[in-house]
Parts: sequence; C-alpha cells; structure tokens
Amino acid sequence: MRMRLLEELFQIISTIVPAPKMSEKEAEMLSRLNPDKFYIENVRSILNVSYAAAVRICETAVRQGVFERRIEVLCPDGAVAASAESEGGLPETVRCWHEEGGLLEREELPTRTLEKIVFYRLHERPDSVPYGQTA
Amino acid sequence: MYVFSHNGSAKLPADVVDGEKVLDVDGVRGLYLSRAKYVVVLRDPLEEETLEFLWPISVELKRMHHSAPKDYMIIRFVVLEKNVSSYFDRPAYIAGKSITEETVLAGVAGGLPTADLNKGIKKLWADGYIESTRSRFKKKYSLSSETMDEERGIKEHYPDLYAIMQQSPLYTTLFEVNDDNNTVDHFSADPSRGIIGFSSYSDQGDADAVIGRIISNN
Repeated sequence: MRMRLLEELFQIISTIVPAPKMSEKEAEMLSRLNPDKFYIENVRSILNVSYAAAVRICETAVRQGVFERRIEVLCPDGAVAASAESEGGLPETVRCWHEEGGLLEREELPTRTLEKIVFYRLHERPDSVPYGQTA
Repeated sequence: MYVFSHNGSAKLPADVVDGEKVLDVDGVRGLYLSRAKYVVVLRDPLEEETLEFLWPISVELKRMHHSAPKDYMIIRFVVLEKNVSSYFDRPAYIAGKSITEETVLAGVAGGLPTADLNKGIKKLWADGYIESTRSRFKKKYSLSSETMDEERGIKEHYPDLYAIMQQSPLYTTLFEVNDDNNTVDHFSADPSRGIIGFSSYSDQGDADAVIGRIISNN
C-alpha cells in the first residue's frame, strides 16, 4: 500500500515541479520518510525545491488523499506534548516539563497559549479490493 | 534528593545549619529541622518582609551488600514554597534565602564524593522497570539531548540511541516508572551527579522503593 501511495505522490510532485524529473536517489529518499510523521522541510530538502513548492506538494497530496495533515502542540522548551487531526482535537491542557536546579519539574499548561506546528503523514487507506471483486 | 558515597565511616551529623536533629533511628536515619528565612520584596507599595519556614531534612546511611559492600549517604529535602505571592495579597518576589540545599549539603556531606548512579539506573532501564522520555547525555565530542515527541520511550522507539546511551554518562533525565504497584509515575534524575527528584510526595514509601532499587543495582 505504501508503494502505491508513493506512486501517487510522485505523480503529484511531477505536476508541481515538472522539471527536472525526480532522480532515483530522491525517490529512494522519499520512500524513506517516516510515514507516520514528516514536516514540510523534510519534503523540501529531499526534493530540493522552494519552501512554497513543498507546501503546494504537501497540500495537494492532502487534497488527493495521499497525505493526512495533522497538528502538534509544543511546550515552551520545544517538546511535542500532543498531536491531533486539527487544533480542535488537541487537549485543553498539556503536560510540559521545565528544568529547575538540575531536575525536571512538571507543569500543566493551557494548549491555547502554546505554539502549534503542522506535520503530515501518509494517509492510511485500506487496500483497494481486488479486480473483479465487489465491495 | 542527593546520594553520596562513603567508605563506611560516615556518621549522622549532630545537627544541620540553622537547625537541629529531632529524630535518630539507630544512628542510621536522622530527621532534622532547619529554620529557613526568605527575604521577600513586595510591590505596590514597595516593601520588604521576612518569611520563616521549618525545613525538614532527612539523612540516611545505607549499606548495600554486593561482592564488596557499598555505603551511601542519602540526603532528602522537601522543596519549599516557590510561589511566595500566596502568602501576601500582592505581588511578591524572593530576594534572598538564609540557607539553601547547597549550604546544608556542605555541612552534612562536606568532603564526601557524590555517588554515580548510572549503573543502577541503567540496570532498571534495561530491565524495563523504567523508561526514559527525555535525557541529556554525553557523547564522544558533545553533550547531546533527546526529547521524545508526546513522551514516547527512547528505548522502545530509538533502540540504536538507547544502546549509545547505555554506554554514556547520563545527566538530567526524565524516567517513567512501569510498576503498577508503585504510585510514582515519573521521576527526574541526574545519575552522574547522584541527584534524584520526585515531583510528588508518596506517604506509602513508593519513592523510597524506587531509590532502593536504584542503589541496590548500582
């Protein structure tokens, strides 16, 4: 299934950055992306395109059902505290840690006050039914 | 909580700075009370006040029997109030403290080396009793740190990194405790400096149980 998703992704990429054609090395690097979590910068650096082009590729892939867009909330120290399919799905508060006297102290912080960033993952879809078989 | 090593000759101190011994159990466990004074600056209007706390400090001598006996001195502090504004009806800031953990430690354990707890902590980690979600550790040419997304376990998700960390000195590190019979769910430690911290108090001795496991495997 992952290979099929990647093939669809390559088609999307070729419509957005048609030339030069994606090299074998780039295709291999793309296939090594962590399918559960990657960022615009991961895609941008592998394809060596502009940030704006990488955003277009990711968002087109979301619209075509190849990627899922998700959001994560960051603690003040940059640690990812929680993630969800949208900001509304995040918990109201999250647990963060800060260092004090060489040890870590726990604190509950309101999610609305914290930075959020977007990431993507390959869309989980059941394999299509075999040819000739009806659902 | 601070852990020091000694050669078996250390004794409970007769007193502590600005305080006295209030309990002595067989010469191996002592409870002390220090009088800690905070100088507090208040705003609107500007004013200076003093707050006094009785600060309980516990000192314990422990001998662990390995192939050769290992002796430890364990000094436990309660973290005193940090938000002094709750004592006043206006903004307040701590301007100074009469005693600190460092001044108490200098009097109680002065001269003793801090215990290196890497071995005991890493054994519990290898056994699956604890798992780390964030750590600072020493690599060959750098001080490295790892903070896992959404408190995922380093050992479970990054086994290669875990293998490196098992051979590296660990500094400030957060551990979760995988023990259904223990109410402690997390603790923080600086194993290379002999420091362990619990964010909540357990009256069932659950923190003591974790400490016992660490030093018995050390």
